[in-house]
Amino acid sequence: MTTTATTAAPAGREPLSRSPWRDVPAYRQIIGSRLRTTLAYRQNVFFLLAILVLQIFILRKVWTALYQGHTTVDGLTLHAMLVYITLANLQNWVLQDPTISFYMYNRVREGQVAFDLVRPVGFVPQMFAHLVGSSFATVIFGLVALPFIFFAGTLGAPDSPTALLLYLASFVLAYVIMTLLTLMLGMIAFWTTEISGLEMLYRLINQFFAGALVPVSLFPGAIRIIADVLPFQATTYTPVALYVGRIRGADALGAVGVQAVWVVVLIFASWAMWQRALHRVVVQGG
Amino acid sequence: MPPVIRVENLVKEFRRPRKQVGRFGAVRTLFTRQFDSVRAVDQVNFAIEPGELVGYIGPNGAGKSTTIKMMTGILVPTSGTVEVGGLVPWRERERNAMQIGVVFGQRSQLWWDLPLIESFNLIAKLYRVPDAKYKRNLERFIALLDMEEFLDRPVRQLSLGQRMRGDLAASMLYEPQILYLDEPTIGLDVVAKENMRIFIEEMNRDSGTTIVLTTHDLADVERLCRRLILIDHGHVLYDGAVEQLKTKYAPHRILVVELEPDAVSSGRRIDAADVPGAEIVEQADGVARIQFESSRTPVQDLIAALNARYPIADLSIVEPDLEGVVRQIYDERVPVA
Amino acid sequence: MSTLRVAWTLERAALRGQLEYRVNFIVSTFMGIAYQGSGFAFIYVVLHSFHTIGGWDFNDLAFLYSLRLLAHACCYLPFNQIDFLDVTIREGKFDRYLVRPMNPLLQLMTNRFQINAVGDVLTASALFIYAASIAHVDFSPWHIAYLVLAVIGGALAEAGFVLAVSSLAFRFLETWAAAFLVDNIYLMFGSYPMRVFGATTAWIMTWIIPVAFVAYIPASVLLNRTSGLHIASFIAYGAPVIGLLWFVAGYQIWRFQVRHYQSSGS
Repeated sequence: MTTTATTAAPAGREPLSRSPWRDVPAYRQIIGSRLRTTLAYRQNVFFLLAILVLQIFILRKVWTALYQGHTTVDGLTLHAMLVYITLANLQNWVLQDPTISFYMYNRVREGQVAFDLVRPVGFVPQMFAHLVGSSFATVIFGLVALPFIFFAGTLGAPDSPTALLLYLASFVLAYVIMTLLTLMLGMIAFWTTEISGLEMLYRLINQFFAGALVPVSLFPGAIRIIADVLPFQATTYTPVALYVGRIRGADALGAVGVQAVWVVVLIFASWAMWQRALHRVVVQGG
Repeated sequence: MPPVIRVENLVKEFRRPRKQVGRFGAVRTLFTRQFDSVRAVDQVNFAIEPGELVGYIGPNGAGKSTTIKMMTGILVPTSGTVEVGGLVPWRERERNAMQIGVVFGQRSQLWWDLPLIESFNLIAKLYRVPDAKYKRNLERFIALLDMEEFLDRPVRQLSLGQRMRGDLAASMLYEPQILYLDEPTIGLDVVAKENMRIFIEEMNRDSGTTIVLTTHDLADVERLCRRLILIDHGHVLYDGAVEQLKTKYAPHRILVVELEPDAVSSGRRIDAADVPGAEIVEQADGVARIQFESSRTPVQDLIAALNARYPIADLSIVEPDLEGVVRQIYDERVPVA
Repeated sequence: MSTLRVAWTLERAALRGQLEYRVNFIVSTFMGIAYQGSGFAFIYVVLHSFHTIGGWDFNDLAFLYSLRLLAHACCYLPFNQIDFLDVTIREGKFDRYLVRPMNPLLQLMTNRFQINAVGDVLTASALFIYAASIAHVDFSPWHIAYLVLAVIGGALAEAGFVLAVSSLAFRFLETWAAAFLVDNIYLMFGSYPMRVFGATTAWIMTWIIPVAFVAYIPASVLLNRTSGLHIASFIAYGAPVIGLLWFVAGYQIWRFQVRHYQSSGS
């Protein structure tokens, strides 16, 4: 998805290498600077972490209250459910970055995207690098938050070694899906100038349909159907449900398969969106 | 008549927690007991009479805006007195606000999204201006500042010059006794600057508004102010007439003499002996710059002496400019007696 | 009082300023609905499988949730600009407020009109009317009077705390994250019966951060559940008064911070 234009080599000079590895130093630079930026604004991250910890705390309390008088619901004991909730929230938080879309949006709004488009390193790969850098930062902060989460929620071992393996594979796919979705959200900045409300909306919908508040398996009727149609489930519910053993055996492979399908679908969707965005910038001047 | 602004022994000290370096620096700074003290304003004294137009100048960080903030009621002094129109600004903030107008060159007080005329209406309401008075002032300012054509445009669409005019008008709508102007001509083109100066002059002359003008553009001061207060490092370095500052600090004028082309080509030069009481600072290519002191050497004698001996093609007199004088004072940072 | 009249004039001007942008009222209202509905969706889904949370069934919880939304929307409508105090200070706009003959807080509040705030109130009202109709509430005149006072009191309780927190902007540069955290605390903790959280948390959310006074305590009174409360009944009946006291306290803290700003001129 690089947007580097085909440049004819100026007379007398070497043709520009078109190897994808040429841009790696640039990516490393972007990742590094994003990491540093996030660390510089660490007090903001701490507040966001506080919200995460509080949310996990509340969910633990609410779920404990819900389980009054029940031992297992939907095949999960209270303990397993609490592990699910804790891990799902933590993962959902780590995968998301509230600042990236805002960053992209701002660059479009302020016209700096013109520079980004003109730079030799493609815009989309640049954004990817930003997302990766941001992920490093959130993982670091997530690790810092772990002790607090330990007290606020319930951390527990996976259901089985197989569950752990499935989880890891599923997590990778979940990461890719989430990244593609964030990318697409950022691209909306090319069409509309007011996306701050949209971003909040996205995060709420994402969080809910990803199953961070309630496992998707408990969604009733019509809501379940909507959840199955959306990709959010694949970012959080699928991997964590595998972890706690809610999904086993053949179902597990099916779930991972669905994730893979989503990856493919979203790659196409984001590519198509990018083409439209480019067209819009070129034809309409952004 | 008592002064309308009285500042006595004014001191403003800022205490900032000393930034802690090292691990957890940010957190430790929050809890530190070590403070750095900065005296932004240090024993400043002056009195301004009603109807004066005073220039208040100084380099960046001199303490200008801090003094102005204390005079407008935004800041509370560490010690000393400020009395404006008989009121202590920070103690009677709202009453003081009714008698002052403030224009910040960098920040408009107008409502960004509304048509200019609506900002004026709001100001009138805010300052409880009676309808008749408001209408009268409004018409006067619209004419004076030529604002008719953009009255209905939202402020965010106005050019800098138009916006500044709006800000000036807004500050005078309720006829404040005192007007504080902070960099009112910044960023304006030559024509706009001149129009602004004319308006300021007129407010001072016709309405008797006391005006304190803070600016980096000394042409503003030279044009408008008879009195100048110069502040640096929190101290007043000079407080008096602009003219006196120049004669005291730069008593010299320069007579530029240009000799006729024939004389130049034949290598003729002005001899120092022929200009007693004056000093030839520079002479090249037939142009001589002669420095003299008006008080000691009347310029007409000098010209007559030169004219008698040399074929003069052209003459001009260069006055010391305020900027040069002020720059010297900043450099030396010595209070001018 | 002429001050209030002037403030009202400024507020109307702020509204006109927003209309200049032709903000789509419907769009922002829709966003508000989605935002407010999201927490509700959680309750709906879990109660489909379970039937009560801490002894409160769906109707009770819907009532509680919508009451919280209503109080919050009523707080947000006049006080939504408070969160922008840090930007206002940084841009030098607060100094301009100090130079004008009017209370700077009122000037801050009327600086800009948040169109979606009106939408939020309408949505919350609609939701509340629905929830009230299915809840087990006895709408006697006393209860209705109490309801009105409780909504106002709840709004004041939240406003007071938000005022106090946002006045930190006078001392620290960037405070949006703190404001965001407070907003979330009210959102998350305010929608459930306090007993679910245990005694300590319930106490904190009542006496340190007045979350419980916004909706839970009034809802308990109206639903006749005062026996399950973690505080004495008579305090529960006096919730609106406590809300007012919180506002007064918050305003005093604000004024204290303004005086500090005027002394240190950060």
